[in-house]
Amino acid sequence: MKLIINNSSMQPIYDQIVTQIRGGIMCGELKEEEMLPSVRTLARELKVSALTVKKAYDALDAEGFIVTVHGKGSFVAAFNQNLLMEEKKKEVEADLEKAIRKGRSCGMSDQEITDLFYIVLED
Amino acid sequence: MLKLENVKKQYDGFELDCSLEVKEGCVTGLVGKNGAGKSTVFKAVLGLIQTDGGSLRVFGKSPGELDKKDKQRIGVVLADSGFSGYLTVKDLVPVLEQLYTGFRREEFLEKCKKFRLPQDKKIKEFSTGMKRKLQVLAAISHGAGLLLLDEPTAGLDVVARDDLLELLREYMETEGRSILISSHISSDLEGFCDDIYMIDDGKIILHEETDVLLSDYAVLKATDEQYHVLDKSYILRYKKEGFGYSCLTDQRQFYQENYPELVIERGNIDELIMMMIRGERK
Amino acid sequence: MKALLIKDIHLLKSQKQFFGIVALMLVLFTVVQDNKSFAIIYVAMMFSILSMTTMGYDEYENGMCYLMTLPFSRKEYVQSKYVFGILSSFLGLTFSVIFAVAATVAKGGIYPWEELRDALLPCIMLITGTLSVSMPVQLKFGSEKSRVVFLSIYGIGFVAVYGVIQICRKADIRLSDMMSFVKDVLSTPWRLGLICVVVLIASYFLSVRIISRREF
Repeated sequence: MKLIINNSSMQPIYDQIVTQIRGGIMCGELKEEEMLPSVRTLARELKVSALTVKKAYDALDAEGFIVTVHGKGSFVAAFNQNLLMEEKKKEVEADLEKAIRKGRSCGMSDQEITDLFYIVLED
Repeated sequence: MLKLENVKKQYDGFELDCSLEVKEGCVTGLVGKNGAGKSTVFKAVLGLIQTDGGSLRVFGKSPGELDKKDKQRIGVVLADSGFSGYLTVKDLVPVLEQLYTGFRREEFLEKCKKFRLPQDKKIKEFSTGMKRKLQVLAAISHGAGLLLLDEPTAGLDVVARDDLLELLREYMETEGRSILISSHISSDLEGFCDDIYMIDDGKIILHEETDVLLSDYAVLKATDEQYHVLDKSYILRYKKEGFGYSCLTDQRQFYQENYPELVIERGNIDELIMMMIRGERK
Repeated sequence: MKALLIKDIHLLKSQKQFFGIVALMLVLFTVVQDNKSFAIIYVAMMFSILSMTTMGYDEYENGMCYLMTLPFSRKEYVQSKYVFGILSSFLGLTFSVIFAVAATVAKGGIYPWEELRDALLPCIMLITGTLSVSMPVQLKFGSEKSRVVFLSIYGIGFVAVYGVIQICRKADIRLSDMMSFVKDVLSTPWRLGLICVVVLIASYFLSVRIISRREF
């Protein structure tokens, strides 16, 4: 899997790595138990600091997407239906939050927003 | 690997007072303008100069206590000094072989070939770029655990700099190695160092992990009115400008979330240094 | 130390011109002069400064800084310079002696061994003197400044010797006594050897002290 880092983006680099690897795992591009490149090797490829890559790997490990075995490397975690679902739920929540914020910022009341929500739900 | 605690050195009109640490497996950058004290730090670590105070530990020992075996674990590139210009690469090989038990001859010669360093030409006839590459190749040729590189990319064009950094990245792929690298070209360090120390006028003015520097530090550009109402709790430095004020913060996200109209620029290390040095404290 | 010696040998490759001239002079003096002593002394003198020359190369473009970071002690550096100086001087000496003897034999004569011994004594003294003085001076002052220092030393030396002679003249007797005393001391190879060794050792310790204190 090829990762592309945007150095001028506002998104922190480790975050970009996390997002892209996570995306790769969820869409199946990165297979279960597949070995990820070592921290230093990836750091070299992306031309970023090794600590940044380590941070990304640690974050992915904490979220359960990858497993790091000391001395061996990092591997894509075995397929976990619940985890995937969790992720998707998080995404939906984020989208809803965005919509609600937008609504509030242009002056809609909470009631108006809820009404709009049910209308869309019916569709 | 390397630890300096309040290491002091006095020269005419200049005083160094510095604490820094290079942990095992890390690449630590030291950035600052010319004359800030970078070379002094290296000289102190290498035992080239005496210090006037503080504690300096290399592999747990003071520089004077390092024996031959310890010194073989160190690879050095200095800013303004190198192998005698009257030697050729061919001459160097037997010398390096005798100096370092871990010297890898074939690899060294191969890399010299790869970088098109002539074997039979005297070093003084090399271009700056070639001299530097030779220095770096020699430093990494014997499996050193600690590299001390003082401005290894100075005087090089962009392509040569990239080549050199690539060499170093490859070198770091082996576990357990550490590098202390200095430069006044911070873009070199951004994509390579794990943490960065900023030095100015002999003192360390900032120490931060690189990715924190790149993600959480930012320069805010505010008009006079915006500045007036700004929450200044996380402003490290500010500077009066034509348009109002520019401010340095280490909490970019806070300002991004609470002041959506504010112009926020992600810090590149050069700008951060400028602000740390030229800006006023709150 | 082996590494340093190898380095110094390679550095001398840049001195091809120098060796060529010395060789030429050697041939010239041997052919022209009947007394071969001069040729031998000349070669010994020239070879004795080789160690100094390599130090000059070490210092080229601030190279000493980097040199001192390499895996050897400062003491070892000094040792290598003395070893190199002694070895190269004796090499030159041996070579010139063999050449002179061969030239004499070739011309059909028998080599006057008295002459040889008379030449060797000043050679040894010269080599010892040059090494013992040049090493500490160059370590302390660096190649550039040491040239000035040497000139001053020779200058002062001349003045001192002249002064001593004058004083002796005034005191009248002493001069001839002193001269024969000196000749006695020097003519015994053991005594001469001992003095030279002592001088060299003293110079070595001084050099080590100088370089230990130096900052790069």
